[in-house]
Amino acid sequence: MSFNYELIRNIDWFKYMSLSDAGSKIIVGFTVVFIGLILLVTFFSIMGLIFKAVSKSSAPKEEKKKAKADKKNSEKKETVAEKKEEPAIPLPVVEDGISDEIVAVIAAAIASMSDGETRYAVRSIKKTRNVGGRPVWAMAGIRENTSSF
Amino acid sequence: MLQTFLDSIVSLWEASGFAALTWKHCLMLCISFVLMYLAIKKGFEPLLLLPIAFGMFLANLPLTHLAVVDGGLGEGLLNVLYTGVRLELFPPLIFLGIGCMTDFGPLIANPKSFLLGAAAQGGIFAALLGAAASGLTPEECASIAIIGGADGPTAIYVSNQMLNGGFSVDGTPFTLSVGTIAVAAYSYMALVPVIQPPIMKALTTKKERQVVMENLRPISKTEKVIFPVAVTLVVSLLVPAAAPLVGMLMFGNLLKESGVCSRLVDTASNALMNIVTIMLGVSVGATTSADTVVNWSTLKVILLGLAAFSIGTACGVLFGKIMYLVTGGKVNPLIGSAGVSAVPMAARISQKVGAEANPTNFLLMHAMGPNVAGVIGSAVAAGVLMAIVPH
Repeated sequence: MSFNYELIRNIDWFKYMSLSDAGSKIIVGFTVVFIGLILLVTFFSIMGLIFKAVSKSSAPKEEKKKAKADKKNSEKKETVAEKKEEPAIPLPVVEDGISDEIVAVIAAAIASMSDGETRYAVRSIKKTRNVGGRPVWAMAGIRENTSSF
Repeated sequence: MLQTFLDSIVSLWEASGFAALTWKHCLMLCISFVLMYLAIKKGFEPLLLLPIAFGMFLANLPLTHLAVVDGGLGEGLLNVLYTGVRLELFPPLIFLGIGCMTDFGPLIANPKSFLLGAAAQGGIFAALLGAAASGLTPEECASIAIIGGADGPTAIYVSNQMLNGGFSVDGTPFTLSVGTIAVAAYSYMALVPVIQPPIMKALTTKKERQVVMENLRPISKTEKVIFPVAVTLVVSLLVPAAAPLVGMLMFGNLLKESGVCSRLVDTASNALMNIVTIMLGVSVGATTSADTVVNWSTLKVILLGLAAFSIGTACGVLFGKIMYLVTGGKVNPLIGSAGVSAVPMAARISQKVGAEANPTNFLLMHAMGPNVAGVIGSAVAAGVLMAIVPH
């Protein structure tokens, strides 16, 4: 049994879009995609160079500032240390019924929200009573959802 | 009395779905069950594949009239839900959510990754040629070609624009549905771990796969804020047809990077995206009724979609090799395959194949650059297709 090649030859392969039409669309399409993304490469490469240059020029200044501040702090510390020892931070006054784990969670939450430079100390932990008949968390939620209106 | 009883039974049988069930319905129901199995058991893109599979299941239950017909202009629940696809609302909203979740930092740190994202779109244009050679209408060719972009919402967006109305510009009726394109696109995206590694290994040497890339530079917040605005400006001016997709993607990203709209980011990337995903998935799945899907064109979609995906991967890797040569071996060509979008799966595959050659190599962050560039690239390619293919 031989294969009927005539059958394949008679199929109108490019029935609705000719080969030249498809070819030209492919070339134009691929080129435009590349041009678009090359424009973006150029833009962001230049932007990257500018930001790199800016961060390099500001880095020595920041370093100088930091070094100055460190020097000042160490000098101050030395003088304070000479006068008397730094007072220890007092332990927080915790209301009965609040476990150590809750104290640790509150301290961790404050630490995570702080900017790293300012030092905070937990002085006391008290249970808050309901405000206006609403639990305090419900009040916080209402405030968060309505503050922008 | 017996006659009345028998007549009642016969009329009840004739009014039931069983009497109207054809082999085509059975085939489609079986396919929907397979897709449900793959989504639930194998975890293949379950968030979209499961709604699509169930939409397909509903559309092929005879006499229920749940299938999306006449391009979504029919009646019933799923036709109403499909309005969001027909009016090009859902895909850009999904892009908004994606923008809120995407970190373009690796791309900003290494802008050359854009080129890999562009090269990997080669699959789209190769599939366009293949589809043209298989005797399909230009609109159908473009719909199949976009599967090579490996981006579900983009594939749905383009195929809906192309196949809207049911007839080609010369009056030829379409033999494809948006659902067929969507199912193929999501199936191939889910099969990235199977399709890509052999191509990546075949086109690279072990030495190339072992390349350890330099660390990316840190990115400032200002750069991250400028990025979405600049990309929208450049892409929308060059290819206005891509503006709805790229614009919403970048809007979502600006919301995220601005740091002042956390509530909007939360809504866009969670509640809104989930709602849209449900409506998009189930209504797109419902376009795959047996009458529109069981034909030879579907087979062409399956074959050409696979070819588009494979060629896209190959183009990305080959361009990666060019970059490897040009940079004197500083770029690992494996990151090129991530340019086909399919975020973040394609980047994970680059990492996995790279780690096989060198277990101490971490390519993930480097591959995320081309990966997110692929999202932008496929949206640009979609805009180009819509501009150059009459519809």
